Amino acid sequence: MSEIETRNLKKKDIPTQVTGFRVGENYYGISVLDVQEVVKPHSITPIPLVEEYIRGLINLRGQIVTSLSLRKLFQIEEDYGDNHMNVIIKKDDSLFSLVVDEILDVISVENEKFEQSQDIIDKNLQKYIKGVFVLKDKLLILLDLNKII
Amino acid sequence: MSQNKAIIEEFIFETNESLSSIGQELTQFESDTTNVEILNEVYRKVHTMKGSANFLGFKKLQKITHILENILDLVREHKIEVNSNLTDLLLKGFDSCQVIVKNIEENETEGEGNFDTLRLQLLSFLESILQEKNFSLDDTQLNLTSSIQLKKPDISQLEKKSEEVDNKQKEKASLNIVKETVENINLSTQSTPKQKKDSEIKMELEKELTEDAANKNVSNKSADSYVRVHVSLLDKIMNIVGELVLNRNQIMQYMNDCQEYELQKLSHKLNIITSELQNQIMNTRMQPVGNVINKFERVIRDLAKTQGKKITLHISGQDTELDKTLLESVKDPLTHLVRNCVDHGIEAPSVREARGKPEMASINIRAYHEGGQVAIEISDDGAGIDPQKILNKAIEKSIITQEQAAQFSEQKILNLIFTPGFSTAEKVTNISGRGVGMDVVKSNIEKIGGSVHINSHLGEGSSFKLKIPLTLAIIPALHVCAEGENFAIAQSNLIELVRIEEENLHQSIETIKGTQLLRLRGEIIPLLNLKKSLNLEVLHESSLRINAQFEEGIEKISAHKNTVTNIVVLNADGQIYGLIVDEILDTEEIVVKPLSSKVKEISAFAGAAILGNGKVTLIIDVVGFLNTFGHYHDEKSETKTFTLKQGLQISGNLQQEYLIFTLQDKRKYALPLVLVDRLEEIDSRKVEFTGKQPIYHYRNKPMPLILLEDFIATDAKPISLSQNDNKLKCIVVTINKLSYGIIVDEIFDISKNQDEINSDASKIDGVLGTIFIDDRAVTVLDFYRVVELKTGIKPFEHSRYSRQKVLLAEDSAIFRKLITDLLLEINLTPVIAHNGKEALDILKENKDIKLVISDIEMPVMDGFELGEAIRENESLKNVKLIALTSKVKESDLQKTKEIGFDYHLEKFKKDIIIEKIDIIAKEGSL
Repeated sequence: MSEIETRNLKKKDIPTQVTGFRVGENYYGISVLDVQEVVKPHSITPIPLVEEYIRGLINLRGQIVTSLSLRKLFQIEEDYGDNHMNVIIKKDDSLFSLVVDEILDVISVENEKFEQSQDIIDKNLQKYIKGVFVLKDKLLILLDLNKII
Repeated sequence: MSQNKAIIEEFIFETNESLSSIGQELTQFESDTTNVEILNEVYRKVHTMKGSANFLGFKKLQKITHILENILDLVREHKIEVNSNLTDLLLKGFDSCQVIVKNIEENETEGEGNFDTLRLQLLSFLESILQEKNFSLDDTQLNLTSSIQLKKPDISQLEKKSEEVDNKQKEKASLNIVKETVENINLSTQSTPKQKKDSEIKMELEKELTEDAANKNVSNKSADSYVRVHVSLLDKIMNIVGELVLNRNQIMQYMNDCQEYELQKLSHKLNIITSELQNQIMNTRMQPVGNVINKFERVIRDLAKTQGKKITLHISGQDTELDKTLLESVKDPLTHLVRNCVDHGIEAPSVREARGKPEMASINIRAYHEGGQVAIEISDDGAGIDPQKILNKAIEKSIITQEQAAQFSEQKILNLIFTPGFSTAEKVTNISGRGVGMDVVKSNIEKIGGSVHINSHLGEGSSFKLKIPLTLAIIPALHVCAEGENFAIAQSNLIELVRIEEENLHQSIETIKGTQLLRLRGEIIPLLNLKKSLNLEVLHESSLRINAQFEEGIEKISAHKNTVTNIVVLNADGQIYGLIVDEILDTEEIVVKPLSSKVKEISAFAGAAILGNGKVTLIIDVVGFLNTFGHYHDEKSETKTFTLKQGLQISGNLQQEYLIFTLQDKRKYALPLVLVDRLEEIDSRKVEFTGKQPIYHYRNKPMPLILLEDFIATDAKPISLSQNDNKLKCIVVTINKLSYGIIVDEIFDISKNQDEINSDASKIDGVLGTIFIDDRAVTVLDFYRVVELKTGIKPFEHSRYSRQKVLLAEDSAIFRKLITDLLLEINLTPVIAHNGKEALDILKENKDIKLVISDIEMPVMDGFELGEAIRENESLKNVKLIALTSKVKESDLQKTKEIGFDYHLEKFKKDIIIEKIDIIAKEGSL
């Protein structure tokens, strides 16, 4: 299903500027327009009874943010170092934070390098992604936020 | 009357506001006649005023504004020029409007003042213009046309008359003319100036003028002391104050360790000011409860009349105030309770007499403050509720077992009527119907953090007490701690705190069948353990790991075991339970923040809050917590009710409830529960026939009976209606005030289901499709179609609407209310915009709005512009448009048609509006 969807991705759905970050071994990106800000680790209030990848709630200057562990989601061992970062995203009036290992720069990507083929990607990931940018030195996986949140 | 009063108040407010600005605007326009916008603004206001006055039956005001509107219309169409004379005349007109409105405000009548002279001036002016320009107005405006050819009055004299009344002869002539020719405007018949002496006319004019002058000195109390503020602005302010409270809490906490005397003094001051500000802001959102409960006078009167009951209603505490949004959400539950009271609580006069009660029953509605909450109590002196009958029913419905029943306290039995799936119909006729919908009442009240209590004495009456929090946003809460994790509990749910020393533990807490019970002053209270329920040990570990780098944040819990047991005794809607926690911390006012969509479905939590120390804490939803964990240990005797309830809690509110029943073929069928009025058992000997149609005499009305076997379960033989001495089970469905009885074999259960109805499999007319309940296919009936097929009667289409959103753009508060009520009546959800621009913005953000109802005259962006904007927008091309005006003018009609409005209707033609909405719905556009 997701394959057909990706084939039909329109050009405007592919961002030209991407916030890149690393989770585990791989590099990922989401459109800069989706990102509200990037913040350092915050203390977290865990929530009982929820799915495991929901880490808990953090207080971002008086706003409550639901923190999501991308490592847990992608089924990598959850072992964030002290220098992990929160990528803050606003969706439907709720704030979410994607917890990532490392933040890369904002990367300007050109559409030519975008590939919708997902064969190269781990099965656990496929349902969360839109496609892959082939950069000079690495692959940058474009995440589909709607599938994650 | 009281409803009227509310509308009139709104009207006075609106009109005063308009009138106070019109004067200035008119003068502005006079000095700059190119400024069409000002003119349009004035015109719009006059137009609204006229419409409202007409609606409320203020004839004098309506007549004057009507003429004023016509003059302004001519100006708008550049048929006459504005000069100082005209402006004077117009201003004078508006001054008299002011006089009338002031009269209305003071004694609800338009007053004795007769404004014929003024009207005469205005009319003469109009006529003179007409004649001078020699054109005809279209007939929607003024029927003066016919008069023009007939009369030859001295125009200049007519005009002069407005300043002086000296030319007697001419004036008399003109008076006659006007009187004869403008019959549709209907000048007052009793005291036409014609009959008056000139001196009298002069006096009257002078009097009017002096009155006007006097009025200017008297301050306009409504207009000057009120400012209209949009609710969204209030919400925003409320949020900011919430943040401020939070900030104050943080500062106060910090100050505890601070030695600086000056700073402490300042922070103390900040504390006081913030609290004051918080209170005042909350006050702005408060509305008197009377706005809602006064309406019940009418509801009860009408209901009592149709049922032949005699009831007096006593209302007290109308002035008790409640947050606006909360008030809105208690309206429906209250209405339901009141209706139930009349319908089932109060006995018929003859029964009352037999029981030695006064024939005149009484219902009391009382609103008052109680313990930081608002209580609304509805009590009657009717039959009361028979606990035994409820118990029997509950056992029969397998909601509880026989053994459980024996242990139930009377209160607990009464509370059974709030259980989903409980319907006391059949047999228990004196309270039949009370069950359907009571669970909805309860869940609606709980949703806003309130609770429902029921109290009943058999034969003496029953009372329902709603407790509603004053406001939602900021609540005092108790902080508790278990396994190093903090949680907040709203203090309104808190009964007491119990501390048990280790040596007393065995006397106080007993364990029966895995349930811990607390003995407290002779009562036994079930206990839940916060730590165990939420599996906090695991959670805390992961929390420690995640938060390892903020070690000052979370301390490793001390190894030594607590020697005392702390219990928080809570009230979850009448159900008392104790929650065992490790530690009870202090109380703090917290600002409730909603949880994100990912976490929202956990009913054990009501939201989150940020504490003074900057930490986030979860707020325990006392009721949701009990529902989620209250029965886990009770596996064997776990009842249907509880599973139903849990099902509801987990999957949110998208569910549809179905009444499940069987027919003669023993297969299961379902009807949406919303359609079901009540369940009855009827006597087959009393069934009569008109033609082939069986009829049952039900509640003094003939009720057609429907046998579904005829076309659905065709392989089974229907029950013979004529068979002697047969009790028939009957589902009563009321559509458009007509009741229909469906004869069924067995009534099963109420079930919740959130799947879409699978319609592919249905080929039978009258069947909507199938749903799966407990993994079994159940056929869902299309009841409207069934009625149509069986009786040939086309039931009201309206009940088909399921709260679809309709955007209403209307600047006048009165019409907004009128149309909103209309939409609510047919079960649509009005979304309000105050002008075209607001409407367009709302529309762009809410793609699920498929119908826009718009006024034409509006500020900022009028209905024409709105229509154009919608039609130009590709993504809104499926939106249907209805234009509403007080009167439909031919020229406007043309324009709305060109723009692409689907309909252009009159505001007062309620039935036509509904009819057109029905057509739109039928086309599948709603």
